[in-house]
Amino acid sequence: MKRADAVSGVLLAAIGIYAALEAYTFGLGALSEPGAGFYPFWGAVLIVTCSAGVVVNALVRRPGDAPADEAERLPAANWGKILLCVAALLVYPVVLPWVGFAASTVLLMLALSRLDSSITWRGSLAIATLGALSFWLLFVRILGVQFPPSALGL
Amino acid sequence: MSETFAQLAFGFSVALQPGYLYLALIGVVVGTLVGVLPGLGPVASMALLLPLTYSLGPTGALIMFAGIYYGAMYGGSTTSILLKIPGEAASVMTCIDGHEMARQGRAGPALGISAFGSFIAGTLSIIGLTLIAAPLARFALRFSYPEYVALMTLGLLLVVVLASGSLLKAFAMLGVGLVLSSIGQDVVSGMFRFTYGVPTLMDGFDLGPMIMGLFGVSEVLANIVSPTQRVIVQTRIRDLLPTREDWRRSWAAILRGSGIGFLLGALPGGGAIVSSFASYAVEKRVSKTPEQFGKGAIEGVAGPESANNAASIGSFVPLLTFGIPSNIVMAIVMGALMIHGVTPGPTLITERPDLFWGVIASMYIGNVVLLVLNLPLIGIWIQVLKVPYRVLFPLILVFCAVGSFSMNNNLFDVYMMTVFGVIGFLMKRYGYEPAVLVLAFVIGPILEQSLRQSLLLGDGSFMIFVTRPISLTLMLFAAALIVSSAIPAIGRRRRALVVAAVESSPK
Repeated sequence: MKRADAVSGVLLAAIGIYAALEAYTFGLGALSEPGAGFYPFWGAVLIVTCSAGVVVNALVRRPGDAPADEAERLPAANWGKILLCVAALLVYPVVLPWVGFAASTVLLMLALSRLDSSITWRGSLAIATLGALSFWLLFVRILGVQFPPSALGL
Repeated sequence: MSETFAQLAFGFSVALQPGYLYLALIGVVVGTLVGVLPGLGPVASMALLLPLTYSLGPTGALIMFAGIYYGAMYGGSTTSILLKIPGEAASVMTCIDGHEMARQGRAGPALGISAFGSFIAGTLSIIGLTLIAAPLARFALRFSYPEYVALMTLGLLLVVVLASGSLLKAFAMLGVGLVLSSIGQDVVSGMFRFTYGVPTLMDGFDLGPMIMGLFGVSEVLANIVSPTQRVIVQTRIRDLLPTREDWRRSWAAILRGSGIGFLLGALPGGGAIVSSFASYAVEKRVSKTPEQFGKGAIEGVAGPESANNAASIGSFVPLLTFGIPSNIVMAIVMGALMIHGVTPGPTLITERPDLFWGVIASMYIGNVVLLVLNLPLIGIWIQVLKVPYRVLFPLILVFCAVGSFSMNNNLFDVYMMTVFGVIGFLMKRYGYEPAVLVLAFVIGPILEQSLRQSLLLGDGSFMIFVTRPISLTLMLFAAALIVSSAIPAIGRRRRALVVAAVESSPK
């Protein structure tokens, strides 16, 4: 996982540097009276220092290091599933104000349960309707959560 | 002593109110359920249930969450014994000898000794908590800002050192958690930090969507990618009551497990997982027949199962007395309390005795309920094991989505949750520990205030941390910890321990 370490380390270091620069503008104050930026600044310094260490470790090859582990790679199909899953979750809050809680939740459950190829359409429909019904009971009826009304009047 | 009894009696008067009794019951049932279901542990399920606690009030939320945590410790063993998959992480060690016992047709006694061991260890630990809580809270009152800084430094260091994987990555996650915790308005200067004019960021970053994403969604994503094969041992469960011989071999392991668990649970960075490993190692070492371990030794089930239960109770000690969460589960519990405006700490016992003693009393009740749930009703949980994951995962994800909306009636939180789900998935894949991040995030604001106040007190000199006896002691421990983890020999041993833990966990 050497390459992954290098990439993730650089990414983290970038975030850390950005946070440190931002925090610096808040004002570090003096040690006897630390300002608003004092704490986030030193937190960010910790991120940068450690992620730099991660990158260095990943780039320096030591004798006896195992060769980069390629078996850990995910098959593309699995990444596809993850992407679909995440996409469904991201679309949900977009659709919800339009079609309302019930319809959007059924759709989300339906989409997610289709990700497993061993579930039949009938099975998916059953999971989706029963699932949405129980969530409606729990959140709307028992907990009294107010969902945005459907803009389409559904 | 008699005062403690009076207060405990008061606690029972709170815990026995129908509403709270009901919540304790829900807590232990949910706990057992998520303990039994592999791929859904106490952390993920508490993250999931965080939105529900909004309508409960602090005492109810605490009673329910406590029930989930120690309930999961009971449930986890069932899956370990019958499937050789840990139902939740702290039951990993039970897979080894527990499953071997099941294969030899002794699933009954294995399940039985797990339940009895858990009950005995749980009850002993609650007694320990009852006795130690008030004196410790009184001691904690002597802590001022510098002592808190020292205590939190030591705690965070322990969490980092004990985190799985690379130390550098764990320290980086610590930094990320601290920086994230500073988002929002600075209490001292009133300045807005990292808010970019986004109104929801003004009161700080929301814990709910973050942990639902990091522990709920990411867990599901990981399971979609690499589903675990499940084969239940085909055996009739009988003889749940361990024989006299089983008891003779187990009782000492249960007692030792209780002690190890309670102590390690109370220490920062410890908790149920570490203590079950420690207990297994101790049992193997003190055993006259260590060669039987791995071949169905009942001590190897009784010890770790007792230890993880004791640890789940023990970890409430630092939270209820010092207001410091010792592990990620306690960080979530603390988050749930702070949502309701209750900041745990040494004054909790005097300011909210109903909450303090109520939750302790509810633990006594919960443990009795769990014994019933896990012995006579064990058949139900074995049926639950047969629910396929493909039915569960859409339910879990939708629960996360709906739940994170319901916390603030804000659709933005659903995006946040999803984004943190992806981040959590990638973090775990590439060896960054999300638990360290969240723990630092929860402790962050208290640490910042304590640190700034200490520096004000000490007029900018760090000497203030070493001129006060309690703070000095804690700082010396922290320094020793840094030195010891930097020394290669000990570093190697730590790594060896982690490797051993990973290898012994069944795939």
